[in-house]
Amino acid sequence: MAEENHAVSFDEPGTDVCICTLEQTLLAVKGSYVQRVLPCQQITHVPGCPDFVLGVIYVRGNIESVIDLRSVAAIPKTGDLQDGKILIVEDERMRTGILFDAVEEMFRLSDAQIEPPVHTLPEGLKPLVIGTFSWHERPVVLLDMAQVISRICEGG
Amino acid sequence: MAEIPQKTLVVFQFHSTRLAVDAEAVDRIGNVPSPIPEQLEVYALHSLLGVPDYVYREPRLLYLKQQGRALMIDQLEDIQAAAPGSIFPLPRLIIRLASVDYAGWTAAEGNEVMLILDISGIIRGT
Repeated sequence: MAEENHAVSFDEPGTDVCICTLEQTLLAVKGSYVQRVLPCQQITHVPGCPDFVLGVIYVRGNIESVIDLRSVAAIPKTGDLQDGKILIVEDERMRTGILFDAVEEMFRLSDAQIEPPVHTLPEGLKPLVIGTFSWHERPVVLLDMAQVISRICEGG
Repeated sequence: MAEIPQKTLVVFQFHSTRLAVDAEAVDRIGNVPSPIPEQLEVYALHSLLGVPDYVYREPRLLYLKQQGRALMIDQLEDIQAAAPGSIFPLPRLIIRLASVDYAGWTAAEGNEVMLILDISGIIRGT
């Protein structure tokens, strides 16, 4: 659960966010995009797709694509993502799984907590970010999922 | 969702991925002749999938019902009916981004997904 000082009344303007870890960076996805969280499982490689497409998985009667956000958002890679979590995200254009190292928490974030993006973000990530906020005294990057999905649809 | 008909599949491997084509499109399966007859148009799987350095281990030709055309595949595995309940739509993202024509559906066994090549689309696109 979120720390008490992160709790936000539902009367306040705010956003549900899902906090995930990727390469030791905390990233937040707006809850409105999140459909499911799955444990990592066997991913079938799909030849002929861009490198950021890890492949497809079978999930209870559906086939879902899975992507590596590091390749889309220019986040440096230190190795394969194993034993991670797959976040299934969707908007009206596309549905896909995104592989993270971990999914930490989902909570309601006050709009007032969101600050402008820090200048030290990787250049490729900056256009995909709404802002940053603090969570357990650690900085979290709030992703602009509309932009992330646009970049994915354009082939990375 | 439109009903997906039951299919018999010609299954083969490419790298570690199981691929298949609808057996309806295949006339016969044979070894790769040397030389390949000039009148035979061969679609090489590695080229379709954009893997230029691929080395075939056990190449075979799928002679297509469309006369004079064949698909060169690798590691023929099986000819099998897709089990009832094992056919699912392929994600839109894959259809959108893949450089090769996959059928709009796929087959899954357990957690393993088998990708189906759309022979008609491949022929149209070349």
